Amino acid sequence: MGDRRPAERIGLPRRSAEGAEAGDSALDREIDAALAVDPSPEFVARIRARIASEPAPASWWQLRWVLLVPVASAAVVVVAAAIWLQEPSPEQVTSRAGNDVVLAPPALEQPAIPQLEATAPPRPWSGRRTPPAVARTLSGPPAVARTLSGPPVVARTLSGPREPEVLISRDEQRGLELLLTAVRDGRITPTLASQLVAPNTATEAADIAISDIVIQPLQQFAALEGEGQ
Amino acid sequence: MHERAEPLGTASQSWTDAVSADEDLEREFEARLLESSTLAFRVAYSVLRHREDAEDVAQDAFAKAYRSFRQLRNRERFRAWLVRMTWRLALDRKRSDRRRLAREEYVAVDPTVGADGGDTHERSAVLWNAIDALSEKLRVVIVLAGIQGHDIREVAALLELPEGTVKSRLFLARQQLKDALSWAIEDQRKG
Repeated sequence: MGDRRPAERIGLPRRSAEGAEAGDSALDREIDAALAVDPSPEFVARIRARIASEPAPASWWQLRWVLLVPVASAAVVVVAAAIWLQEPSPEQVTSRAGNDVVLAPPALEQPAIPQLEATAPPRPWSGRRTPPAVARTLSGPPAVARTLSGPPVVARTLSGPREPEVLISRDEQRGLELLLTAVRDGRITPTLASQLVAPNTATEAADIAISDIVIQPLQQFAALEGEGQ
Repeated sequence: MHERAEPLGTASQSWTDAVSADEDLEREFEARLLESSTLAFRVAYSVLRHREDAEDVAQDAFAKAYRSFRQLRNRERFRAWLVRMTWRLALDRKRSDRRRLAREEYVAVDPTVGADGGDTHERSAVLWNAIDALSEKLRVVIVLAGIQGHDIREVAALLELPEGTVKSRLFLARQQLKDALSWAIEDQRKG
């Protein structure tokens, strides 16, 4: 209540009731006049130009493609995943037609086996929880798990990047088999690389004695000199 | 052979329909633009009171309306949406506008405000100050009622409010404006 209205603040009398209608119309005229501002003649043309630079409003025809593309992409991904999951493991050791043998690529998760080990002779399943492993010693660490009845296969590693198959010739395979046989028979003693004795570099080299060089005149030249005298 | 031709014909017809629908959409938007451009400009001007700023804001509002025009094809809905969008954009512009000082100077010399000399300019400035002093709810009602002679029903449609609400807000706004401008109105009545 203590907040006085502007008319009272400036000391003007309040309007009478009969003057209210005239005041309303006067006020409306004032407001109408204040808002009677027209835009510039180029206004609509500028809006048109602005709209022309805008992408057209999406129609159902365009939305159809917008929906179709991700659905098709998802279908391709699903099909590719299904094909990838169904194909045989490339890490199995398989013999191919011809002279080549496919060795599994090294599995990154397996610890490296630095020692050349002999393949254990096949023996019946003895109740161990895990079948005996056969080490592969070329360059990769994956252990070759022996199946109960089948040939040795490399233990499958599900994680890690897939690497290309390693092909070795039949001769190389035979050489490896001979090497393993020699180790198993004791003809070759396997040694860890870390146990190899490095050459003793601490021993001092013996002094090299070089005898004095004696230059003797050639007899032929001596004879010539004698003739000349 | 004939069975194969049918899907092609259907697709072609769909494409034709789609193109035709897009053309219809463009025509409708053009009609809305022509009938509502001044409305949007005046709404923006009532907030900004700067011609170029108001045109920029109205342009932005129309650009937004164009992007969503498929949902705004109804005429009344389009105008209501446009008014609200323009009002909001203008308020945002006013808050962040660095040309506010230039606009205040412009009010005193704007030839469009009135052509009756210094008194008209002064009254217009006082009127705008009084309108600015209103709350936003009352301000938008009094401005829309003052634009293009909108009656209560039209203002209610633009604001998507009940007519009774608009009527009461309009009454309150007028009362506050009359109080603020009583000295000017008294002068006019006496004159």
